[in-house]
Amino acid sequence: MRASRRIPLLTASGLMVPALAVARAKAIAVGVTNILVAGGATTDVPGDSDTTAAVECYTEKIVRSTLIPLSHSVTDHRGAFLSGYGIFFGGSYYDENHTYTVSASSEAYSELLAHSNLTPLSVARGRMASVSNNSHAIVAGGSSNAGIVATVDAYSSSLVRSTATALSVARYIATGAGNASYLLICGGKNTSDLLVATVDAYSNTLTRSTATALAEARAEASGARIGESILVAGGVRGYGIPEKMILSNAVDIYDATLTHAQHSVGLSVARRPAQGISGQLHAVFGGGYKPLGTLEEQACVDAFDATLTRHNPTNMRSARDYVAGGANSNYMMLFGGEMLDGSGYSNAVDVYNLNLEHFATA
Amino acid sequence: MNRYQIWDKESPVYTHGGKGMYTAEEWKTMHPWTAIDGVNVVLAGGVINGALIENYADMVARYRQAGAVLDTAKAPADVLIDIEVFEDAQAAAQLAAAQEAANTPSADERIAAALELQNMLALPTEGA
Repeated sequence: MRASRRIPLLTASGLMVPALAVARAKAIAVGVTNILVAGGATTDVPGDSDTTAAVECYTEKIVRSTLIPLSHSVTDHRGAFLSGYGIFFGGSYYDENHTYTVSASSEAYSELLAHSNLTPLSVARGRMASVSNNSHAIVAGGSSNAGIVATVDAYSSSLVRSTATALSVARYIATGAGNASYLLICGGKNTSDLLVATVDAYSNTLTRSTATALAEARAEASGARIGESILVAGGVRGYGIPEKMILSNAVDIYDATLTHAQHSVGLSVARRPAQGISGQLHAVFGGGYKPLGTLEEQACVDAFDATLTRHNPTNMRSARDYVAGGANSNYMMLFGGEMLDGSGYSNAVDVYNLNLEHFATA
Repeated sequence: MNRYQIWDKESPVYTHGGKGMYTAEEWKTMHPWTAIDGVNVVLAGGVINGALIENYADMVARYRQAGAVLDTAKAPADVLIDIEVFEDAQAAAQLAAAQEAANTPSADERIAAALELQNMLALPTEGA
């Protein structure tokens, strides 16, 4: 019971939360008013049916609808929100010949949920990092058919694509996070498959600089913003078979001027958290894999408010990995994921309101 | 240094973000539930005590759900120490399990070793 946090921001009476129509992991969510959930893996058996192109929309009142799908059934894609558009970039999929390939697609959904194709990425790729603010969305690094790239594609607020200065280090599975003035690409794995701590910062004029490195070299961290503070949380700091992975509970903080600090307590559990959520009042990191962790640990949720104080609201209803996360003005939502009890891919949706009260699919 | 502490509701609270320092009254205004009589407020140990905030009762429930055996007849500060002991024990157990996993060949590694052995056995014997 979390009665202690019931400040009168929202009435937390019953909230019906519809499940995703398509159970999946590694989906990407973006949004401000509507939250769009796109693509993802529907089974971990490789083949042409292991991914989905489905795009689902959750309105501000948590009403779900299904939109025009992406042009490919992708995973390892990324997303951003820019000028009222939810945009999904690239990703990997199996083509009609069952050949693994990567996409250059850049597909936008308007506030009225109309679908359009933007100028594609300059290099088809997946497992890149993306981040946006009111000025630009950038798509950085990733894994192309030719290998790991340093390419940075930038979309202006008028959705025109340009190519920005490349990353200082080519890498993939890096983390994108930003504030009103800077877009950061943090960590990842380089062309030698080594973890890096490098942080490249892009200003609103797309000038690249190098910010203070992450406290620990790591990949698959989660990025989110609260106010002008950028948080980079958790991630993998040592790879191996799943039981041998080493996870981080570090939370790196970059303020409005990119001054770096490490949060003194970090995440409550070292793990690879869900896609970070930049909510109105909190940055939220939910669930995620922890080798040999309990299901309770892997269902936990860490929320940081504007003073960067960590709160631990009620756990997600189930422990899941590769969960998509998105927020609108009222809610922070966690979508789908791979069930960590081994029961497959999930269509569950967890919702937290501005008071951090929890609702979930039945 | 303890990881957690019970806030005395009088000391200032230091944070990583925002103003950086809040008087007790400001903190109670920001988090109204902390002003309720009888509610124990957990903050982080150390200088930046506002790095975390949690209702003590919620925290106890959460750790019990995770398997901690906590005696709430004890003083809250002592229960917080028991929570730290539980966290340390759990971390040590997971580290030991991870080390055991690291020392145990994975299925892939076992298959690779078997294939390597097969290849070696298939090599022509020297002088044959």
